[in-house]
Amino acid sequence: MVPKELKYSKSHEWVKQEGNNVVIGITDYAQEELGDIVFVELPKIGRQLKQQESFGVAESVKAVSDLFSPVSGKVVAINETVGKQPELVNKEPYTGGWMIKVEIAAAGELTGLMSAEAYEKLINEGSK
Amino acid sequence: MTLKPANGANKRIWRLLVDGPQDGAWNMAVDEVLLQQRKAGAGISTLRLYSWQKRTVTLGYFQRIDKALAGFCGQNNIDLIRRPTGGGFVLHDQELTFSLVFNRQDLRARAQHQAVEYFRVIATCLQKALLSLGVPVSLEENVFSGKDNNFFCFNNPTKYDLLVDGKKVCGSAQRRYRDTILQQGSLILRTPGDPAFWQKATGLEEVLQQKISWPEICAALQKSFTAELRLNFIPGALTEAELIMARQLAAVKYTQASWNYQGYYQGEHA
Repeated sequence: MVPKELKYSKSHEWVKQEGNNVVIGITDYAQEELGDIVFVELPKIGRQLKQQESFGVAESVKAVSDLFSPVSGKVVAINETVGKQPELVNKEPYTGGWMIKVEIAAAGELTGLMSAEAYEKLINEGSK
Repeated sequence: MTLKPANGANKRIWRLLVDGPQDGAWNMAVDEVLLQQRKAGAGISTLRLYSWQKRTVTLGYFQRIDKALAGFCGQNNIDLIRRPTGGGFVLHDQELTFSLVFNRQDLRARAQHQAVEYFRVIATCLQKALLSLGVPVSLEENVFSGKDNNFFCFNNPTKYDLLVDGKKVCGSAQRRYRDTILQQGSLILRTPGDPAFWQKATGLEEVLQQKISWPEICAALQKSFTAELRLNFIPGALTEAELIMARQLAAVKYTQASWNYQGYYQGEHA
């Protein structure tokens, strides 16, 4: 399940552009790899992120995993619902399980992200 | 430290660190520094074996402080430290504690897509080491969700924990940063006299009904990991840079109430 309209990072985050902002979450492949997510910690609104910086962590099966921002910019919104219902990341990774919204600082970074086709190829190769 | 395999052999080189008893803040700081260095490409994969200067409770990264637990620690002069890894709280007393820091490439041949598989690979090494010591240990198959925020690690066996007759003898938790993994684990030697903590746990010496020495366990672990993961251990020490980083991290993080006593939602990323 790789939605065609989104962009993807090698570290399995998805990005949806909305004007000058992007919505960021983790992919279905990533949530499946992590297993049942029981806690999510997200950044404060206003935090400046650099591309590939850790913006939060998620715990699944006694493992805390860092989450990475595919773009640089300022956090303008977080999904507080996943803090209370972390299972949404497993159930609806591309919709209700979104994590943060970032005002992009460098639009050029988006062109370095993968298309759905390229990402699908990456995960198919990775799981062989 | 630059180490290359001798004669182009297939085996990977890992560092073996055997530490004496240390305080809790230092123990957690060292483990986090090993992770930071490995993920930055400056360190090598490491198996560290250590223990505790005094009884210490460590909390999982996301656990809230339970008033009863904080009171118990205060009344009994037990330190309370938050780990960088997940899971439930652990009372470190008479145990051998281990940490493994490695890149997932190091285990690629054995571990598949699901991240929990890394627990299985490590658990298999631990199991074979304990079997070689005569401990009839098996791996837990069921998953405990960990959604209860105040759970005690040794009362809640989960998948790939090590059990003897249904009682947990070894538990682990992880921190993952991209492809680099820190796994911390506790191997119980003797369960102390607090029955409330140890209803579902046991220790190696209770199972074997005899004392077991640290060198004996260390040798068994080294042998098992060497064979199972096809690697070579080089006995080593922390580098000067790692020592400096660990001192700093212990001072600014693991001795601070802002880290150890925080609610989980005001964590590292707030």
